Amino acid sequence: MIFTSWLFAGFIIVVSLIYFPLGRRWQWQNVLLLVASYISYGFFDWRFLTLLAGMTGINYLVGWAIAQSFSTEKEGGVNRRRSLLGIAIIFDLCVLVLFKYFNFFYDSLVSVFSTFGLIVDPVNLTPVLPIGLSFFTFMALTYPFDIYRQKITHTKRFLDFALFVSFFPTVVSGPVERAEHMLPQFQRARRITTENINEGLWLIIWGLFQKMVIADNVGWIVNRVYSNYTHFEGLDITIAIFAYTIQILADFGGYTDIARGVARFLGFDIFLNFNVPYFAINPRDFWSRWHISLSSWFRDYLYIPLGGNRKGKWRTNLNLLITMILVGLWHGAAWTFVVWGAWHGLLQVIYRLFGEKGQDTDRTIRGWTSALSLIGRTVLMVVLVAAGWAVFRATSFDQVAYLFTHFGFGTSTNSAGFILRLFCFTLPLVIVQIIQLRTKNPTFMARMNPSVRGLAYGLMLVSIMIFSQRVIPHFIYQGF
Amino acid sequence: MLRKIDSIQLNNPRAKSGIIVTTVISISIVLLVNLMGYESFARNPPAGTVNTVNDWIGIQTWRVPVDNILLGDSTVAINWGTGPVSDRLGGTTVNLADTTGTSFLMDAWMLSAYVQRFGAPHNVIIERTSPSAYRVPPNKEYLAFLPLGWGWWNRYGVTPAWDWHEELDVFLTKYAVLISEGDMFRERILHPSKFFTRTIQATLPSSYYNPGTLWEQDPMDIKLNLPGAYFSESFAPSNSTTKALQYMSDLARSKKFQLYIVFQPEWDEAIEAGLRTKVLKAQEDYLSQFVDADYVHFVHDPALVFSKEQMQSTQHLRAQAANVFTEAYVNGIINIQNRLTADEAQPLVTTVNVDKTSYGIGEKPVITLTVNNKSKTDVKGSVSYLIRPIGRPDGEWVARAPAVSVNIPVEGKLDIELDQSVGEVNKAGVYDLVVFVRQDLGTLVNETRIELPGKIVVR
Repeated sequence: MIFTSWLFAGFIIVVSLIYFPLGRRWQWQNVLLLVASYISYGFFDWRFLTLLAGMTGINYLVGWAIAQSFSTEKEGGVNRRRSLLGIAIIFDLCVLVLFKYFNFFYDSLVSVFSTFGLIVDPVNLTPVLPIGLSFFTFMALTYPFDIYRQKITHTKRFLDFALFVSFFPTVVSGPVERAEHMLPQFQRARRITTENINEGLWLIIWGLFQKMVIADNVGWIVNRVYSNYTHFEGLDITIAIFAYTIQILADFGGYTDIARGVARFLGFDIFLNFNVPYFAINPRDFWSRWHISLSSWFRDYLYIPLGGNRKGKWRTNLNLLITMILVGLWHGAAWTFVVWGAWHGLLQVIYRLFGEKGQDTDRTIRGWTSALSLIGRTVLMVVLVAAGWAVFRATSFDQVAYLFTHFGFGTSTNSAGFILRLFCFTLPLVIVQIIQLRTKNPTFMARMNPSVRGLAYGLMLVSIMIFSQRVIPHFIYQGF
Repeated sequence: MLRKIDSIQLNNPRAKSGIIVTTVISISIVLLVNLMGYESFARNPPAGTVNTVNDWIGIQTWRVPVDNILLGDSTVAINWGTGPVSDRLGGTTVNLADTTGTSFLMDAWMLSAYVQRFGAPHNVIIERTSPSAYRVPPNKEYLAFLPLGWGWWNRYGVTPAWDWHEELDVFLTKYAVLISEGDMFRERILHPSKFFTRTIQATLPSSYYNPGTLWEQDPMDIKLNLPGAYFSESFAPSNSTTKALQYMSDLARSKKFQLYIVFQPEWDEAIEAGLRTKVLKAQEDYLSQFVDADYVHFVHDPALVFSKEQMQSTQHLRAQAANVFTEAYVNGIINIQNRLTADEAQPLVTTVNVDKTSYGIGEKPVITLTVNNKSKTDVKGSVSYLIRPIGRPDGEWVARAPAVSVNIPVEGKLDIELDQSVGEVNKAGVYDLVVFVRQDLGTLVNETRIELPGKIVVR
């Protein structure tokens, strides 16, 4: 179910009416949440419930087998455990590749062969991409992986693990949670505190505001320009690129905040996924603030196993590039995503050339020069990130080429309207993020005076009702 | 400023009462803004519903009855003038038509509300385009913004066949304007003057001529089957249409007023290609269940066929064509009333005098009528005329003199000079003069039509 639909609101109310009276009976609460999660996922596409269940089962079994190996083969068994982990990885990645990447890789191969004059008969599978596949695959894989690394122990309660994989706030678009983080929460009684409720309320309302007011309304500019890009040039293209920069943050950040808010209400804490990312001052800082759950997953399960930064400067750079390219590819089966990932890898490599200065995340303002430096570095990062988003959003390299050869500052009759719209809808986001940055608290509003909160929430709800689009546009990251 | 922001960190979360305070204040703000929106939409209803709102305000506030009521969809609203109706059927006329979306139910409700207040009118003339307008149920937005109390649709004779969720839909449309009219709300926030504008005012009886639309033509191409729906729709009237027509027919018979159901304008290419044969036959068969010899009639005139150039869409006509349409259905109604009053009409002898044999361009002829009452009763009625190009239909009139009331005593004589106050003859040519002598016989009329071909010569 889409978070911004009335159906989801009704669904949450029904679930809550059963959930809260169960009190400290967390086992029954987990059963309820599991059933609710499968119902919620089934609303998207009931055909893939078996895939979800199957992936849950395989990863659970592998995790059990690895744990068994630890307990029965105390001295040896490394190869066996490695093989078992390999089975889980291969199975999960095969499912992902089959549904998401088969046509992409096959078409690319056919294209390469045809360059050399070899004609290969096209095979066109048209699988439907199961919604959330990229997310729950990675979440499920953390279980056998973390058991292998002995960060967690195997849980005898299969239902709890099934709930972790299918948990309805996270299954469709993340955050990419870890078994290590969520299973202990599922396996104890929940405390619903006023702090939970206050934070949950803020996160949900702010999340809805980000998605339905900010993202959807600046997205109007993006859609207009990108769908008819050859009719635009100059400032219109520049604005559209920055509008997408805002849209994707508000859209995905909004989704995550709603997910976190719903989870908070239910007594769970899920990962902070966005930490004012456009205030980053270098690529390393950016990736510690943007889609944190995914970037940390790739760091822990790919970059570090590849060697991380332990094998010299060149290998580190190579590992960074490979990791970021795969981050790009994770987003979708298209070369534009790969190029976007490579761009971010390249930025990381280039910034590393400046040593500590290129990696420093100290934001202390000591005077005018440090303030100007901070602003300059922040602005530069925004521009570099925006350039990447322009490629990310494009549907072809022809479009990319056009955008980068036609952006500028020349105005048209549309420009004033675009600027005004972008400014008005971005302003609330900037204000809130400045406060979040200064207070170092994404849920600062939960700590404010109740009357001030009421006023803010009331105005945000009014804005949501007035400025939301009547047709429910999907969340961007549901497409991944 | 930044220090103030930093200090937010130091506040502690409030207790449960804080959550309640927050919730109450936020809901209060939503309700307050919604109330402001509700008030704004009461003064300035959503576009498209204003006509209907104004019609209802009129029905509720008129001080005197109206003789002729026009009802129906946008064809009537845009293409029917009230002047020819008043001139030839007598009395005052009001146009209460709105759009297809309001359905026949709205016509029935308006008529019922009028009758409850004033009793029976003389004539009710209704047209909705077939088959689309016969098929639709009432649009919720039109119902929600009327200046009537909740549940009003149960007070005017015929009730819609609604489920609870449809009534909830109307409730939310009416009272939760933040959600139901979010787009328009947004527009009013961006243009605040619209928030306080008052657009509603009572529809009043009036006499006007020359209706018709100047809008750009909708795509119409018989070879390409445009508009698609025009070619593909079958005649399938809804239950609410049948209920509404049955109610109005029964009301006409019980209150003894005339109800005329007029057929829609037709596109000549579609008629020639036989594409409308089935629909028109089905419409005629359907309406036959409501008609009778005395009170309920349908008006289906072959003259209601127009070329693409005369049409803005398959429903709307350009100005001249709208006159043709109006005059054609009024002729049809007159024919019916003449039949009904054949035995009651009194013998009048009318002589028409024209002051010159020819005129200059723009010059107004002075036309005097002498009416002799040869009967044994006083005769009340009116006289009027129109000038049209020679041999052309009445609807192509270029000038006319609106009706002037006459009251001719037994065996008396009346000389009356008519004032050509509408239009002018501004092209050289030969024109027919058509004089209408109307006798008022209770709520019906009997018209004597005097045609003087080529009487007006303009050089």
